[in-house]
Amino acid sequence: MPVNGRIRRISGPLVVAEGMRGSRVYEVVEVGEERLIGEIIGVEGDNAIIQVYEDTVGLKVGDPVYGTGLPLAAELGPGLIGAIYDGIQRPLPVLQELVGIFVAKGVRAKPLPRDKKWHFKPLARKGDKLGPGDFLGVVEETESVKHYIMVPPGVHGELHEIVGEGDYTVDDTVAVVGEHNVSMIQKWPVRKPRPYREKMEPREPLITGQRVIDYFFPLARGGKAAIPGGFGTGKCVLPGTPVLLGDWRLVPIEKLFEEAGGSRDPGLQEETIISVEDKDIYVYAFDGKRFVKKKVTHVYRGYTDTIVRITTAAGRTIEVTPIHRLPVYDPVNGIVFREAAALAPGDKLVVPRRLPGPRIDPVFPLDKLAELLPTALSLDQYINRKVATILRRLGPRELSALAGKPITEPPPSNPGPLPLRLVLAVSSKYGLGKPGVIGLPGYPAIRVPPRIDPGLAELLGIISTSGRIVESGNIVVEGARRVVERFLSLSSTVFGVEARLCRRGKQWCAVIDNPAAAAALEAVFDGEEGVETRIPAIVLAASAKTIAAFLRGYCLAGCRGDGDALVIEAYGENTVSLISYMLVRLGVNYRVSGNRIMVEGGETVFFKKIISGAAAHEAYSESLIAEAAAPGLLSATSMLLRDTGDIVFDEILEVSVIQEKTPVYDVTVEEHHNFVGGRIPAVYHNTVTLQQLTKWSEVDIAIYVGCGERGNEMADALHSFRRLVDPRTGKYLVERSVFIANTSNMPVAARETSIFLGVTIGEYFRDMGYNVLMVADSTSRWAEAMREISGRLEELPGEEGYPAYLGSRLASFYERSGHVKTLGVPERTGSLTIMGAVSPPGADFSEPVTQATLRIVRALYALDVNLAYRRHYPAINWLTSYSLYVDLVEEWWKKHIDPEWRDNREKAMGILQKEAELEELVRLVGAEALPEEDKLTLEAARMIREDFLQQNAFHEIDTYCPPRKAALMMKAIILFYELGLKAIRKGVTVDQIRKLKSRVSIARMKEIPNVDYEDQFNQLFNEIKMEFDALIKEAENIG
Amino acid sequence: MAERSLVTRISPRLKKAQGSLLIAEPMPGVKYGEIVEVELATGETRLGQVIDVSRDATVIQVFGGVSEIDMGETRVRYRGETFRIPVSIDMLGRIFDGLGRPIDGGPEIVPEDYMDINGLPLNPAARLPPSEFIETGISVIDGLNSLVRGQKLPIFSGSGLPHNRIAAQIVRQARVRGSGEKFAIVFAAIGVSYDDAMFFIDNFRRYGALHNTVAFINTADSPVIERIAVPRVALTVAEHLAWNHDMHVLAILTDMTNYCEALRELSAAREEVPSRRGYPGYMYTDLATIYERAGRVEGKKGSVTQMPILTMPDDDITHPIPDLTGYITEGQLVLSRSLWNRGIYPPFDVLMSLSRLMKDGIGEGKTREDHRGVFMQLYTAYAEGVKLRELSVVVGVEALSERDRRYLEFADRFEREFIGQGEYERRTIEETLDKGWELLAILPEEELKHVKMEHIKKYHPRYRRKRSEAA
Repeated sequence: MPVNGRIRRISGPLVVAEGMRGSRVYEVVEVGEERLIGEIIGVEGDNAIIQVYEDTVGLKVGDPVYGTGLPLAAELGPGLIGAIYDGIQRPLPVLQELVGIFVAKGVRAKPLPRDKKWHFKPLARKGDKLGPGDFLGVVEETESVKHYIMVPPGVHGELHEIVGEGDYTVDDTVAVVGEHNVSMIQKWPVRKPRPYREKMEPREPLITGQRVIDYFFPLARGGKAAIPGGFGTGKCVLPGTPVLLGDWRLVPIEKLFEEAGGSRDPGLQEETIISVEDKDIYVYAFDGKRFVKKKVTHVYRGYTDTIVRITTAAGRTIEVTPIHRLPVYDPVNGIVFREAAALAPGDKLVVPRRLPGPRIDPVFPLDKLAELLPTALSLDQYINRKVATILRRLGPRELSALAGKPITEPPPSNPGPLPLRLVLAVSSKYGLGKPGVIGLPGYPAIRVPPRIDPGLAELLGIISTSGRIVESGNIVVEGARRVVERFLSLSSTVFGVEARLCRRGKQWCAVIDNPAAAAALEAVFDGEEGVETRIPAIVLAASAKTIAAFLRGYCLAGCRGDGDALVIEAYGENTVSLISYMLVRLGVNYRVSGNRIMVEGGETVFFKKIISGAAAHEAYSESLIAEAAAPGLLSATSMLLRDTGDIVFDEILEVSVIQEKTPVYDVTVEEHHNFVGGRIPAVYHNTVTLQQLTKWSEVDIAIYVGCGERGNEMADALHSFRRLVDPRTGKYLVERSVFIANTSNMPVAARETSIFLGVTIGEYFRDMGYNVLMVADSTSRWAEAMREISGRLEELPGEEGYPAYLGSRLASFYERSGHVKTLGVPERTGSLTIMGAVSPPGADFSEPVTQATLRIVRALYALDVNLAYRRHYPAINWLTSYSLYVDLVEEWWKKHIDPEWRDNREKAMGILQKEAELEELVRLVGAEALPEEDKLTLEAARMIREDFLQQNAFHEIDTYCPPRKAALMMKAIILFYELGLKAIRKGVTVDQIRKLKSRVSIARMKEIPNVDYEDQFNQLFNEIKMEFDALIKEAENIG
Repeated sequence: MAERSLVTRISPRLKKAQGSLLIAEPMPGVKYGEIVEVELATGETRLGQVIDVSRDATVIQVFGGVSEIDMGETRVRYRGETFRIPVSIDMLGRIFDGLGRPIDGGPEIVPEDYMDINGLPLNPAARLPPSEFIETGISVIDGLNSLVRGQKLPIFSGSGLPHNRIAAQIVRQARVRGSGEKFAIVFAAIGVSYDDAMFFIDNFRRYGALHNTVAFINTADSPVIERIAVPRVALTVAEHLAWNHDMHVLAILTDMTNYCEALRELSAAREEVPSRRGYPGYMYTDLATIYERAGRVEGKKGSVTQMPILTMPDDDITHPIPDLTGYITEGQLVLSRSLWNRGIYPPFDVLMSLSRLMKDGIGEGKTREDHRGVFMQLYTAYAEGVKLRELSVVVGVEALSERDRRYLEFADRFEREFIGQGEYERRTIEETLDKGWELLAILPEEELKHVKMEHIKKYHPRYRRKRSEAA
């Protein structure tokens, strides 16, 4: 029976009410005339102590307090998915509609939309005997979530009635069970765990496919874990890095992101992934031998604060995040993708030597010309006549629409010149050809080539170095006599116009005074303004022959010999970039130094032959591939080069790490996961997908609680979350997520409840049989809210002012995680896994909240930035992380995977521990001074770290490692180590052991396919055993 | 317009006066948080606020303190209103005391509305991430720690450092680029000395900054307790101008340390359980309710940007006031005593300062394309210079290489010419960046690794000279 009382005292968010005998702790009350929501947190005789979730200013002594008889409850039902709530489940977007930008006092809105109709399909039948948790029906809430409607806890009986399949609101009665009318809504008190049939020990691991988690520090379904600080950064490239698209356009990566709908104006630290699968964007990817066109599936944007800058012998500067992968040549393993931070001077970067490109030249941009020169006329009699014929058939309205202005009279039958724009509009609409002759009144007509052909390209090459287009419509070329003369002859063959020869001092010059010709060139240059010189980007998309012609024109003035070498002078970064891509089209090797591009050695001859047209470039380059590469590039690998004529190696000169906070971008490429890009073409590994997302995709429902964070940060999180795409399903993550946002300035009491609200919603979905993950960010702010309320209550403070019950309150939250058999039929299990972020001030782990958390959680994943800087990823520190689920999941491992799991895991941990101890010693005396056994331990530790713990999340195979394979991998390492120990005792040295072939096979275990790998591992075990047997025998013979 | 109560009640008796608290006999109908008038025997009236009501007593916190209160004669008049202030666009150009009463001799404000000074929390779902650049005309801020609309960027100072002069300079100079948008400044002086208050008022008058400024002055001699209200009053006006008049408001709050001291004093008077260094445990939340009143919002043209100024006791950045402030705000600007002692104004400690939202507000279309590169280059070069300066103390300048000496020269000139700037000198962002280039030209060109080649070609003085010679 609800009790009503009156306010006796008000102090901050605390209100004492009298006349409340009969009310209960945690009962929700409505306080004052405005009916502010509060919760009873203490009862003393007649008095109730109430914490109010809204501002108490304006309340009076004697104001009414209305009891509800109910505890603070969450509303559960269809409509939860995708919602954004505050700490007491008010839907924030609805509040904004109701009262504007502020969260006003006393404003209410139902957590679940009442007017929305859901499509309900019954699952139970009339006459069924039902109990709590039994499925009554199902609503498909989003594409990803089937929302089961369950009999609420406490309701039993026969199903007297159930509605047929159809659309209902959450308030509509869908069934009558016993005496109860059941709707799609359930209410459940947030501080009370929802009932289940049986809580099971979390004995089943939540398999993530990550060896360091699954094998070393397992997380159980229904477990609880803590992650201190923020999550790691992605592996990406910096803005400004061009990406070479399939149609041979060079587009800066951030522009690609923006074109995909990404915000130009992103927020703080959040990451955004956008699917572009429907957009048909292609890039060039390296398949291990050649470059092929591949589709881009996602674009990504995130942030980093560390950049690795790599400079190479051929003049490349590559800036990427430390864990971004680049292809290098490894003498043992061939071409491998390695993290940028792990590269060192001397490593050989794999870069494209030759890329395939179009065989047909691009169409001349006549539309652009018409746009630049609106008064241009088409003088092509043939096309004009066809256009006129069509025009005469059209009515005035269609004519006006085509011309863009009112036209009433039909054109004459023999029209003479027609406006170019009109002709283009008609020809594109009716599929006629394009005019080949255009002009302006008062100027000679010019020819326009249908495509960017070699002649035009050569002319463009000359203009790029020696020419300019004056605004008045003149084309002026200045330079040596041979340049000007070539220009004269080309302009007459290409445009059919005669240039005027002139002299300026010692220089020769030529002028074409024809605005139509100037506009034609302008159109090709696409109006791009460069600083000193301009290169038309369109040439890049032309055939190799045309590109060679362009370079021929360019070289007339822009190249000079320097001994054996040929130096191409460029004038800016863009020019360098475009010319280097052109050279890659021709398969010519080069080196870049500042604004100079050097073609050296044998390549010079090759290059000269190509651009002079003396060599058919395709045939010539084929023959050249087996020959030695240019100086500075490797020739020792001609074997490989013969196989893969499309690449060369570029030696790394310098690797530097820069601390800078900057946005980074990436794209995901189908199948081969890399793309060609950069100012000077290079191969970049693509790497999207965040660690946490991968984890998230292992669960059905995700709940994010932002608790006491900065408002602007929360805004950013909400904005970017809306666009996050699940990389596994390609669907929006919002479709299976619930958000709870309570910023630092919102009432502190509601911050305290936000965590419980989140966990209650999590349990509700768990009861449907789902695996749910709840992320609470941050539990430190939540604890601070408790400290504040405790202070108001004048409770005796514990450590650092936190209440003495800090630990138990934290526990009551984390304890609601679990793997359970739920109530009801069908029989099912569900789990709620809780991941709490703690943000210890100054990274001081000894502070009370972190300490209390560590006492409760059973797994800690200590992310280690230093590991990320080295080549180690996932960057989970193996010495400070722990998992107490090891014992619990042991049986599962023994039964399903590997009876030796526990033993081998402990041996491996022992080796790593020993390594940490030995490292100190090595620093003092050097590794060589160690006894052989210790050397072997170091070797084994290295194998565990590099060949087991490190995992390439973006290698097709290694990205997901089945537990059984992980077990076999560890077994191989342990076998190697134990046999090694035995051999050493017989007098074998570690040097001999290091040289064993099986050592290399172990390094390649990761790449063994994830199916049918048993045989391959058995072979590996035999190989190890045989090699050691031989070693030992040899040693015994000598001995 | 908000309703105002017509009924006034007068309390029968007072029980106790202590510190700034007045404990009165209970009276029915008194609201929590309501504003009362305390009428002294002398006829003077002070404002107070009800901070605890119960059946047994009403606790009133008196703005103005309880001195001269005569327990017999003093009357408390309950007006039944919470702390609302009249707000109007006409407040621009005016000067008020800490409670919003005009002190510039001008007429009373004709209110457009009465607003509760405590405000309401912004709906997180309605907020937009901040990203538009504000030009303060001070090189260190604009160039290296840019302020964006909707940000909260505090200045951490120390006693004796010229934060007030810097604040006045920002008020005089701050503009939004690409004008045409309405810009206003709300200035709140919290517990500053009389001289400082006069300095501000004078400064605003003399330099014509007054017409788009609303100033609230609470001097050090006014009651401590009033200080609790000042930032809230100021931000209430700021919000009114931003959300109801589409203005871009920069709110400057100085000195937040005085505010926190007042909070501590009040907490002690209420006999609350103290937390770190005697400050109340709710100081984080309390500061958040002030600092979080900044931002940009969906569907509103205006914005509120905050620049709180605080003096770090004993220059200690781990003191609870700067510590908690830093948790809530998006970065900080730190003043350096050693620069100030060397006569450099404004003495910003470049290496300690940070604007977390800067990256979203600079670059092409916002400031200039080379901004990010110049910023990184200046920052790293100065850091290198400072490191070498320490080294040179040990090994002597002679032992340094030519390159290192250039860095030393760079660091010295950077402090004098880039950090250092006239108190009445307003630099546009272009001037700031060009200044940066001028200084970077001291360094060998191959050291400029953070700036793009094309930007060097475009902005480096050497190439500029060449171009102008060529022309």
